[in-house]
Amino acid sequence: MKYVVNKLSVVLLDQDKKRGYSTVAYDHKTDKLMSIRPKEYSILKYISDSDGLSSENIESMVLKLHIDAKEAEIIVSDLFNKGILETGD
Amino acid sequence: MIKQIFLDSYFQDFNLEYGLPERSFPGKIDYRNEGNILTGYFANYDGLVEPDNLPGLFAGNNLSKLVNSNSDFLLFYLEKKKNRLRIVLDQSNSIPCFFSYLNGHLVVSTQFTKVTEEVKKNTKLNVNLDGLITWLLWEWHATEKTLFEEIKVIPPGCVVDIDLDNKKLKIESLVDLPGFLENTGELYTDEIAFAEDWEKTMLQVVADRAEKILDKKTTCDLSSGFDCTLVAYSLNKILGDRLVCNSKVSDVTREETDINIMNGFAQLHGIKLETVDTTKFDLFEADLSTAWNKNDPFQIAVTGFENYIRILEGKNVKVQFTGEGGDESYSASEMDLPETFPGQNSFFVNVMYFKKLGLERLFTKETVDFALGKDRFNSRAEYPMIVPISSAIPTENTFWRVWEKDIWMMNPFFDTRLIAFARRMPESIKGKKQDRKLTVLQNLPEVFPKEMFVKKYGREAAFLGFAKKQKKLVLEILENSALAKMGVINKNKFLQMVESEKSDLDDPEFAIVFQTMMQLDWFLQKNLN
Repeated sequence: MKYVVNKLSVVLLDQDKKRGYSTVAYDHKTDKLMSIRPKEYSILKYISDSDGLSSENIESMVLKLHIDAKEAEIIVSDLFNKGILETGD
Repeated sequence: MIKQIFLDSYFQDFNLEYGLPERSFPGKIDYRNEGNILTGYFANYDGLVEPDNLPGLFAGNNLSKLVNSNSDFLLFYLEKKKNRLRIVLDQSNSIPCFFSYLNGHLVVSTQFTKVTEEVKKNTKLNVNLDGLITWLLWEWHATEKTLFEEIKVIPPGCVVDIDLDNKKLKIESLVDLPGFLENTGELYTDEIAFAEDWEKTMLQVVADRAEKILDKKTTCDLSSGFDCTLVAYSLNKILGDRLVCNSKVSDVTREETDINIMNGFAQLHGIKLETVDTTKFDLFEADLSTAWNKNDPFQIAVTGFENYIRILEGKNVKVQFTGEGGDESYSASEMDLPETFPGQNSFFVNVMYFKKLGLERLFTKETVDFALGKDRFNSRAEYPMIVPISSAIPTENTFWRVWEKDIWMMNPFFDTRLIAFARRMPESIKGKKQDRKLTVLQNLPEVFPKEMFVKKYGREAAFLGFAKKQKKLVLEILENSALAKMGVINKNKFLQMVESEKSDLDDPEFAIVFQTMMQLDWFLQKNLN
């Protein structure tokens, strides 16, 4: 199993750079837009560019993004609960 | 006598002298100084900018103050020494204006097809797929893009700055969205106090507008909904007997505008009301194949709306107040994220269409992929707005028909003071997402009688008859479909639907897009050279 970005929940655009890599996503739990802060953004971008996130490449993501492994886990779990990440093959 | 704005750089000074028609409201301004020309249309409602301030604001390049005021305007400033032309449009898109600037040739008009005709003389028109999908889905966003690559529209609150010597053009938004969002006042805690002050704020905003048109014959659009009725109630307090409200009524959309509720409201407040029956237009009885006009992509001339406006013209009405933007005002407290991220928000609107309407029912797979793909949204510049996009942008389609009848649509809900006030809604009301409006207005029982609090329907029913009543025309359009040739639709799928007893065309929301699609396809067949 791996996590992939739900393409109907967030669109990562070139103009996000101007806003310091922040954007909005659609939270399916609350049916509302939610802010995506730079740390969440970097994880979504990583997953999007690497065609998914499996348990094997979590470590390389953490190393590449210079973030705490525990924090990354919490963010991934939160994004999954909100439907912004989903499971893929 | 010219009716539309028409400027062309082939003429001396772009034809600024003759290319702007005289109007009852807003009045024309004209300042000439040291070879500079400042002209256009202008009316201010909040006292922040007076006409005589305008030359100074342009000379001092202080246009932000102008754009962020509550004014309706479209202004042209030609600096002859610098050979520079600036065109500035207000933040509520009150005078939508199209232009093309190709090989140093500038053409500007309030009528889209006026510009189209000029461009076609020298260049082949190319369809812009983003503009086309936006058009078909009624998915409006602030943009300079239109249906054709060669033709642009001035985005609201923007300056189009043209360096004529170097043939360079740039568009810059001056709307101060962050400043507006930061200055939200304290939230109300008392629901009744909020409702009463909401009514007072509307009264002030309407009074500021009424003051400017006291010598003009004025009406207010009335339906059985709450937005135009709140405006009518306020305007009636100011104009009294001089106000006669008008309403479009139709047997097809009786559930949208309930004449009994409307009459009850008018009677309660002593408002004079006249109605215009548009039933025959909603039934599509006329043969549209001979009635459609190649210069009118939305075929407004054969709609109930045009019939209504013609009747107002016959009554010599010069100003009509509307309730446009009313729905959105009750969501103003949630505008921060969607308005700060307009590109992303537009993406989510398309996703909503994808889920609700089923884009694959309409388009080929390639078009659906483009409609939801990031290339589409990456290709757009961003023009922030405070005034609700979903109300201010669609006026681009019908504006020119109203404009040429010398009628002005006055939209009090577009006033940023009112929007700012709406953002102070108590948390207890904000939580009731679907019923905010009703919750606020139930606290004004002397304005809105309890009979008004019934389920309200949209105008979808008015689109259901089109495919069946105009079958011959529809089949002809599909046989020669320009959209199919472009790979946007699969015409065989639609041909089957038209021939079937029951199909997607019985779904009102699908029927709306289908009618728009047929009108656009017909327009493209007649206009693509």
